[in-house]
Amino acid sequence: MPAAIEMMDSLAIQAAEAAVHAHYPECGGLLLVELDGPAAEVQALMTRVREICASCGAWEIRVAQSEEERAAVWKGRKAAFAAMGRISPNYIVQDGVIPRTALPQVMTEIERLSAQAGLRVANVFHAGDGNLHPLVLYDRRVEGQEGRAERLSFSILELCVKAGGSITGEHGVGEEKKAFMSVMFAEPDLDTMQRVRCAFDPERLSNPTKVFPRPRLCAERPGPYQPHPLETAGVAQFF
Amino acid sequence: MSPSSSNTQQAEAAWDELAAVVGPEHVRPALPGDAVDGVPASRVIEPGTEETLARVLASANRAGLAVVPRGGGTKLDWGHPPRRADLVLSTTRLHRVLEHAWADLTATVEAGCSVARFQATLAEHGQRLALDPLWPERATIGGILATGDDGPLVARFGSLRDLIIGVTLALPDGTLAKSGGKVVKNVAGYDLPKLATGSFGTLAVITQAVFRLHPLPHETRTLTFTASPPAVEPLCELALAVQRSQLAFVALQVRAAGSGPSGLDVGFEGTGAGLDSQERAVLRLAAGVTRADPPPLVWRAREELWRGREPAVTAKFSVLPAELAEFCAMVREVAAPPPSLAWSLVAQAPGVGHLRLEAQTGDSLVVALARLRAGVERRGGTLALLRCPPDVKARLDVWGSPGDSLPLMRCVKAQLDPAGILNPGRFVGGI
Repeated sequence: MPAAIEMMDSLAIQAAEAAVHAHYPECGGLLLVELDGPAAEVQALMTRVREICASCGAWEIRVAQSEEERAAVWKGRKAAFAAMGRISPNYIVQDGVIPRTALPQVMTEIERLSAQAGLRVANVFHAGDGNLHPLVLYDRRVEGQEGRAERLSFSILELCVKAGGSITGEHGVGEEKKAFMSVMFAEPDLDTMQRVRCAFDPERLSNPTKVFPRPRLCAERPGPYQPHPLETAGVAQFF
Repeated sequence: MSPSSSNTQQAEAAWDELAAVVGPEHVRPALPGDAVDGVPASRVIEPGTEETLARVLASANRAGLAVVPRGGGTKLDWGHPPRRADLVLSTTRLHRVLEHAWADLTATVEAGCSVARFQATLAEHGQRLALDPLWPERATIGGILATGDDGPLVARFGSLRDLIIGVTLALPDGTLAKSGGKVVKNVAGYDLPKLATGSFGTLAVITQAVFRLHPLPHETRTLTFTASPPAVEPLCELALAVQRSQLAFVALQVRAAGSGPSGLDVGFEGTGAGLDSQERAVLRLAAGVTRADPPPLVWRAREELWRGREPAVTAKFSVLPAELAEFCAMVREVAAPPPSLAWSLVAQAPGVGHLRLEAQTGDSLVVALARLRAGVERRGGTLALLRCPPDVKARLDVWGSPGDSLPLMRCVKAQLDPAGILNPGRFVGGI
């Protein structure tokens, strides 16, 4: 198992190159693979990585020959988000996860959504665990573009869930994503999580509006949500 | 009508309802062998789907029947005896591997599948669940999760809580809830897979789990070193030196006993070239310690701690890695007073182990364990009794100090199982 497999598409490469000159090749996308362990082990496995990359049609395979070269390659990757400023005035970065095998299909679909919205999407992400970080590029000064960018980033999240993934891999659910919890989880799932929340925070003092699409009152009887008779009668609705 | 006949009628009505839910052929009167740690059960129920299992729970909940979930039954005597065990809820028929997404290195499995069968299925595509629990042929996925039993590979691959990525839970009110997912990185919502792991079936019944997988190793190698008693210290020092080095070992354990030699085993996985270089590095650290051939089934050594003379206790302990030698010295000391107690232990990196103490009487076990626990807890460690004679359990809290989190644990229990029907009394603080 490699220690890291990271992917950057051509937009991310261009931006990172402009920012830190990592000497990436000009290409449609690149994969960074890092192995760790005893030197003899790493050497043996790197041969295997090269074979796999070649058999998958890699145009060029470079192995960092020095610590400086390795550091430069990683500096480019780590600078990629900030480097977006070189190619776009504003961007939204998303955090979604998909099963690793869904990568080709989801990348194609993101490209289609991007074309449809008329906005560029740069991709730089943790390919090894399927954690995507699509960067939706836009210009806030152009009226309506921010809204379109936001909608596009949400469509990408829905795409992740549809592919069997998650709406967040490492940054969590706050205000923005709480509505998507219902896309990913059914009501009994959310209700069970709410019960755990009530055990820890019965007064609902800690970030009361976050994570859940619909806050629950902890004084309610534990168990599945019981609709109010007015709701059942269709007279009132719970928002 | 007298109250007792009314109660009997109510109980019969509850059993009839349960039989209707699961099918009469899947309910049977409990036999003496179905008793849970000495507490007799009334019925054994074997649902065939998780939906049926959830409905059984809901019916039992309405009737106020105490439910003891059971997988392979290998660890039913761990924890306190339940206050009641009306219904043994067996996951035997939930034994399918639902999905092995080998290209994604994940798998979904039903709770009643044995660990060995799950591993055999995964091995068809060169993969595994990277842990090695006790008695894998009989232990089930649900059982190892509920009891949090993983094994020596935690040193490299993490514990069960690191490997589980999704779970389906059946709650006493009949709710079937999923949490987590099928992707290896996911922080959406609360992490109920981690909550369920180690909760001893007191919060919900685990019906399905999703795991991250690892490839089977190219090759494995175990290096074993020995010392004569009471010289376990050189082995503990070597164990520490290996842990402090950059060596990428996958498992490490110290075996020690009151009589007979002690041993240190260091396990590696990888390619031949990598293994050779790591072996040389370990041997450089091990100058002055005797190398030996690893005994057969060395990584299942802790299973030996459940066999031997009675009365005996098998306990699980956790200590800081640097304090293992001190722990061994404490065990030797509490076992020393005549008549002396026999002891043996297997301690695995990074600091969890199992200990067996054999004595002439339950009394001397209680005295020795109480002293040992006091010493361990003073140093921030824990000592929980797993397999234990009833008279010892009655006089010593099997779990030890719950710390300051007990009120919170009680709140979680009250939310998920308000009527307290699941494994009543078996867990920490009588939960």
